Amino acid sequence: MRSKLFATLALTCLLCGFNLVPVAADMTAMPGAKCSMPGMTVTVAKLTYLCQSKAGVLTWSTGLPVSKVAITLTDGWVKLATTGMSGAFGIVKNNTKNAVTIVGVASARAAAVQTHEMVMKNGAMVMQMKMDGFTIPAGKTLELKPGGNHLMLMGITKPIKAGDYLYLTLTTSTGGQATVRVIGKVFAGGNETYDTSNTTAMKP
Amino acid sequence: MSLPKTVEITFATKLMDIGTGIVVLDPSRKNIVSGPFTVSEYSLSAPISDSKILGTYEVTYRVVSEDGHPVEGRFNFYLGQSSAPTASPDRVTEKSGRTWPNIFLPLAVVLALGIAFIFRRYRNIK
Amino acid sequence: MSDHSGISRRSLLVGSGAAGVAGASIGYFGKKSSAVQSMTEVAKIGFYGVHQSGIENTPGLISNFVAFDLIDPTKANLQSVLRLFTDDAARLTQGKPALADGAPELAVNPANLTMTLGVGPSLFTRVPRLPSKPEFFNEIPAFPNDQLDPKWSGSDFIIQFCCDDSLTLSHAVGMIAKDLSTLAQVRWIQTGARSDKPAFSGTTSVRNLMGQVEGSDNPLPGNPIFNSLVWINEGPQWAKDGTILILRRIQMLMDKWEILDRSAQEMVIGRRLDNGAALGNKVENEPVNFEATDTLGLPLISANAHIRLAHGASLSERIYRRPYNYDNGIVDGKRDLGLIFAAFTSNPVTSYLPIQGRLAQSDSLNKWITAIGSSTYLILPGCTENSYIGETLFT
Repeated sequence: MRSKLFATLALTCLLCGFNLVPVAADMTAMPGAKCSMPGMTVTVAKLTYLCQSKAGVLTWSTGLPVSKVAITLTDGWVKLATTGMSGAFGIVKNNTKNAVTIVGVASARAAAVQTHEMVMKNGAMVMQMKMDGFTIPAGKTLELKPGGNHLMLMGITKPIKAGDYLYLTLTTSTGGQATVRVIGKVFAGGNETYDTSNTTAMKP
Repeated sequence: MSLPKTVEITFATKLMDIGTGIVVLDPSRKNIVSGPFTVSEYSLSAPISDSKILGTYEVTYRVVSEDGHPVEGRFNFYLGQSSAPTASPDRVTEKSGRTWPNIFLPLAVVLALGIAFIFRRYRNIK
Repeated sequence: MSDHSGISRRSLLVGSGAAGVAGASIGYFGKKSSAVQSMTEVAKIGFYGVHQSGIENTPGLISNFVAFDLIDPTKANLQSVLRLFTDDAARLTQGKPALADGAPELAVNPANLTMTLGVGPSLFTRVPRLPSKPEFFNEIPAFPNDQLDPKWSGSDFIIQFCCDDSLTLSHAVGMIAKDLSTLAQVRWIQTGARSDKPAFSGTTSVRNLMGQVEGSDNPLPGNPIFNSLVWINEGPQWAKDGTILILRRIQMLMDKWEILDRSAQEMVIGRRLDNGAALGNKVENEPVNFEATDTLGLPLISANAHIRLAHGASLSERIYRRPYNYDNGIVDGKRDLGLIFAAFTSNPVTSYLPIQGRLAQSDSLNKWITAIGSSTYLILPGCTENSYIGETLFT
C-alpha cells in the first residue's frame, strides 16, 4: 500500500516494534543470547559483540577481538534530531589491502546505529536495514548520503544540535574498529520512507 | 600707531568652511596670522600679531561660497604710509575658472580695533 | 593566508587594467582554449593560515557583512558556531560544497570567496566563562555627528563574505545562515560592492560613490609595517594574530555634494579627484607636504581637509582600510548610498580613535557624510586544518 510506504519515520518506529531502551540482557552480551536492537554493538574486555539476525532471531554474535582498522570517514555529518532517529553521512574509505565489511556501528549518543540502504520497492525508494553490513573493496570508498546508503542512529540519547561533534565506532566483520567524527548539521531532506516489511526479523 | 588684533572679511553670500585660508604679510613679507581663523556665516576672520613696521600689509584669502564656488582674493592696507608694492595682486584667481559674479566680492574689510591705519584700497581681481 | 592559488588578481589589475576573474585564470592555467575548460578555471584564496583570509588579499568585488546574535549565549553554542563556520568556510572558499549542501552546484566557482569571522564586545558580557577580551577592544563610542541606527550597529559576531561572483556569494551566505539557524539569528546584513577596476592606472585604490579615491597611503599587506599595524601582538594569547575590524556605515549626502565645484570637492579631501594626488603633489602615494602653499601663499591642504585630519600623528596611528560601497536605491525620493567603511587595526585605541576623534570634530567632509551604523569586531586568528577558527578561546 502506498500509504503504508510513505509512513513517516516516527510512525514506522512504532510499527517496527523496537524497544528503544536496550533491555538489561543487552548489556551483558552473551554469544547466542537474544538481543533487542539490530545494529547494536557492545565491547567488553576487548571483545565486540554484535546484535545480529540469525534465522530470523536477534542474537548476540560471538565476540570479535578488537583491533584497529584503517577505515576513515571524511565529510562526516549527522542530521539534527532531538529524539528518536537520525541519519549520518560521509565518505568511508577502506585504506586496507583487503575488502572490509562494516557490520556494526556504535555511538554514545544513540542506543544503536544501523547500516541502512535505499531500495526500490513497489515503485518507491524505501530504506531498510542492510543486514549484512556495508562491504567496501580494498582501497575503495563508500559514499553515505541522504537518499542512499547511510547510517541510522536509533534511540538518540541526547539531542543532536548544530555543530555538535558525534563519534561513531565502526566495527568490521573481523572485529576491526575505527572511530570517526561527524558534525551536526541542519538538513531538511533525507526523510526517506521506511520499509517495514523487512523488520519482522528484527523483533526480539 | 599699531595694528588691529583681527582681520575680518565680510562677504555678500554665506560661506562654507572648505579650503579656507588666509595669509597676512607685513611689509617684511612675514605672515603675521597668529592663530586659527574663524569662518562664520558671512565672514572670515583671523587674529594677527602686533607689528610696528610701517608700510603696506597684504591680505590673501581663499573662501568657498555656500553654493560651492571657491574664490581667492587679495587686498592691501597700510600702516602709516604705503610702501612700494611687493607683489602683484593680479594673480588672484577664481578656482572654478568661471566668470565670477560681482556679488561675491568682499563687501567689507574690517580691521577691528585699528587705531591709526589708513585703509587704502582693496582689490579682488578675477 | 593570502596565497592565491591563481595569479594575484591585484597584479593583473594593476598591470593591465583588465579586470576580473577571467583575467586571474589566464595566468594560472595558460591560454583559455574552450568554454569547457573555463568551468574548471578557478580563482580561490586559501582558507587556513596564521591569519584569517579576507584581510590581506585583494577584496572581492562584492561583499556581505552579516551580523549575528547568539540565541542562547553559551560557550558550547559559540563553539558550535565556530566549528560550523570553519567547516563551511574551508569548503566553500575552495569551491567545494558544504556538508549537507542543498545546492552543491552553486559552490563550484569559488570566485575568490573569503569568509572571515569576528566576535563583538557584547559576546564577552553575554557568554559566561569566556576568557577576557583585550583591554583595547571595546565598542566604539558614538562620535558627535553620528546618527547611529541600531539596525546597522553591533552584534555578538560577524561574518564578512567577499567574492567576485554574486551567485557564489549568495550561496555561501545562505548556507551559513541555514547552518547557524538554530544557534544564532541574523541581526543585519550590509551588502557592498567595489569597482572591478582601480581608480586609475597604476594604483590599487578604487573610487567611492562620491568619486573620491579610496585607499591612498594604505599600508601594504605583507610588509612589516602592515603586520605591526594590523595583527594583534599584545594582550591575551587567544587574540594574537587576529585583528580588530572597525565597521561603519557612512551615508553620503549626494545632492548636497554635487553643489560643490570640482575644485571645492578636492579642497574638502585635500586630494585631486582624477589621480588621487594630494594637493600640491603629482602622484597618489607621494608623501604629503601639509605645509605646501599655492602661488598666493595660501595652504593647499586646509586646516579641516580630510587628509590632514586623518593623517596619523605618529607612525603607529594608521589603519588599514578595505571599504565597500553600498547603494540601497532610492529611499523617500533620495538616493540612499554610501560607504561601508571597513578598516583593520591591531589596536583601535592608539590608531582609529584619535583619527576619528579629529575627523568627527573638524573634517570638512562631515557636511556630506553621516555615520548611521557603527560596530567593532575582533577578527579571530586563523587556524590549521586540524582546528577551527576561535579554538583559541576554548583552550
